Amino acid sequence: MCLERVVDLQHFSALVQQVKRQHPAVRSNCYLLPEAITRCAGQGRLYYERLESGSAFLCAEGSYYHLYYYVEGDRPFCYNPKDKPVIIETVYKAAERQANQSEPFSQWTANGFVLHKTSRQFMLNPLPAREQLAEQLAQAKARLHDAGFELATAGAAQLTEVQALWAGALDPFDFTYLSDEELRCELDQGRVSCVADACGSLCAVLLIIFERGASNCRHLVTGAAYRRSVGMGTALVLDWLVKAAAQGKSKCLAWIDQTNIPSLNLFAKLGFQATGRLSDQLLLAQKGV
Amino acid sequence: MDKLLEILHELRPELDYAHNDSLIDGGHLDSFDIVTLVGELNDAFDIEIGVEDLIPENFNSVAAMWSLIQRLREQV
Repeated sequence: MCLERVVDLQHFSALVQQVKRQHPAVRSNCYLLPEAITRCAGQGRLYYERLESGSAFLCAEGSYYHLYYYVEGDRPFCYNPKDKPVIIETVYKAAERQANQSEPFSQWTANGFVLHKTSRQFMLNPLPAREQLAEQLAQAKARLHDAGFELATAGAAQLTEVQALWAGALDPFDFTYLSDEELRCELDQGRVSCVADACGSLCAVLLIIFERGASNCRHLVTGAAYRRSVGMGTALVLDWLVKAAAQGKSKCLAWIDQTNIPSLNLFAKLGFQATGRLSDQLLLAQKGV
Repeated sequence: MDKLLEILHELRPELDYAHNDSLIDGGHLDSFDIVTLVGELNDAFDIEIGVEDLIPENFNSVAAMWSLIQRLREQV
């Protein structure tokens, strides 16, 4: 079976309807909304593949495919590896998973997928008062300054430095890895906060996402040489909260790898609480590996 | 309408659905909630909410969702 390109939203919609007609009890992990489907199809990186029990939509994300499935039932079926690794993400509430499924991935593990990682969603809602946040941020910035570092906003000229920090620390199968063009856009809009040393070299970065009513942060990375030193992560998260509050956002959200203890502790210290929502990522190695 | 409210309360019990007309625009429901909600509505009302229907305007309020349900029921 080969991959075929999804042309646009109407095409995607027609394919889904066709699958549902042929497989009435179809299940899906697809949370793409029309906006995202239109963007990915328009960029020529959304594909589909017919399966014996449904269809798979694959979105090319640089070094891997993100798979959104529409399949019937739990029974195993044949799924062939691709030219790049394939990632499936399933988002669920912890209580539901415990109550409903003892082996939730049987049809995928039978195809060679393995559990790659589990992330937990954390939320701060409501945000603390602006004055309180500003005071906390001032203290964090002073601590950085005393140690020879400054909190700043990264610009387009620092694109490769930001990418290098992320490449050195982020999971290569991170879902929100940005293309050069997308990152440049974020930098131009001042959405990448950073900590720089006295020479202006980046030591830590954080990407801020503003959405409807809420804000997310992604890709919080502190260079290996600076971890557990002067509170760079704390300063970046506080800077994000201050900016979110200034934009009138009522809550801030973050997904954190459940094995990343320093990050879990950092967000807990700042008042974030688990929402109970988890995300499992399953990985299929590429063809021939 | 009661059935719709029941589904919504099960999905996110903390929300005040009666007085909120910006469930999506206000960030109260996100894409994960919408996907879950669509499955529940399809089953409960025997409708088929298409991908093209998944726009904020159809999910910002209980009234908007009810209107969508009614429209899709008439199409069956």
